[in-house]
Amino acid sequence: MDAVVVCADRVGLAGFALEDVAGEAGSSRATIYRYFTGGREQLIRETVTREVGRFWAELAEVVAEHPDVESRLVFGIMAASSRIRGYDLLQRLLDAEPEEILSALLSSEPLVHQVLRDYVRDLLDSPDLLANVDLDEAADYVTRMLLAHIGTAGRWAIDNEDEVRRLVRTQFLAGVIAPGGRRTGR
Amino acid sequence: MSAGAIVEPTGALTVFDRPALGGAEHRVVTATLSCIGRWGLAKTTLDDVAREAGVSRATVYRLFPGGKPALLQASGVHELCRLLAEVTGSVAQVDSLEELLSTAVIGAARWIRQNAPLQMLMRHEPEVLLPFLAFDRQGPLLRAAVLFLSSSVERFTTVQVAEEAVEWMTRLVISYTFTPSPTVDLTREADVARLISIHIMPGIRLADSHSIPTASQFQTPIPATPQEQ
Repeated sequence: MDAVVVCADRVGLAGFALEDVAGEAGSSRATIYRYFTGGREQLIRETVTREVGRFWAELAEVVAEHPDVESRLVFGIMAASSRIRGYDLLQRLLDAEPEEILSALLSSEPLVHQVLRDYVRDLLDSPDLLANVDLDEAADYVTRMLLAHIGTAGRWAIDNEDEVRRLVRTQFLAGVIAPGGRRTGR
Repeated sequence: MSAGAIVEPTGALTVFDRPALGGAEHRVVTATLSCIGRWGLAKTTLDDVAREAGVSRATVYRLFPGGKPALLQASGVHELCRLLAEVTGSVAQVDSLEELLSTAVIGAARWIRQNAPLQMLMRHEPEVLLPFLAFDRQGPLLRAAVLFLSSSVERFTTVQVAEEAVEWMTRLVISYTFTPSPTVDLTREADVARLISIHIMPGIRLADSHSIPTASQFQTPIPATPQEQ
């Protein structure tokens, strides 16, 4: 999978053959097929999923220092957006081959949604959760809002902490946790 | 004259008043949408479109020199404008912000559910739609929604909160359309009522108490810790 990233960096997703990946990895085409029976397409999809997984794991580390739900979401959105913009390979693929890279990203979406929802659920599971709110539904809602804003700024200045705080406070959490609720569930 | 919007591939959006698509243009766009609804985009040829529209292939090329991508773009903008105009019309008579938001969200979700070409692409060729929706490429769509709809919302709140609310609802419709939820279906009134009363109205009330009456761009941040004031 490291070799796939190197090859994509060099020639884009459509530009390399399995032989190139094998050459880069010091392996053979047959060996790659043994691990990725779905061939080239599966290899690309799984590599993208691995990169996405790393992205979220790093993000969880970045926000772990913040004790409250609101700040975790605020700094998570800010860090995620600046990483996406600064991820040179992703930006080049989005310009050159948007359909290929976005299809691969789409196939990782259900997994991302599920993992993120579990993470958010743990964050919200605290005494600050409002009485009329169902924890699972709230976690799903906040997850959607997160995914809808990461890398998609719209009208928000996503590098401005005050603006992102307004966004999170009004649109993500106003109906979920009590005003002033600052603890996380973990 | 009707409002039109051009979504540039670079992400720039131009919205302007323009005459409705000319007769032949309109026929070609409508024919393109019928073909996509029947066979999808990949299997639709310019000959199919010309035949369906009752014009020659040369006419299709003269009207849309960019070929298939240009036709897809024009058809997408046409449908987006149609959706937004319909939603805008449906909220003209409502009496409250809550009613406006639920009418708009349900209307948009049902329109999308019943739109054959869109459903065909979502099911079989999502990669065709993704470049218009992913990351900042969604910006033009969000701006188009704000341009069409925020003046209706401004009857009930400030310009700033109206624009925020329209973008918010647009993102939610996109989210539930492309990642359906087992418990929330935006075409069902009860689900939308719950979503709006639990998540949306408390947020709008909070935003209202921290917004400035006329500015169209956010200027004053919410204090970082209001609960300590």
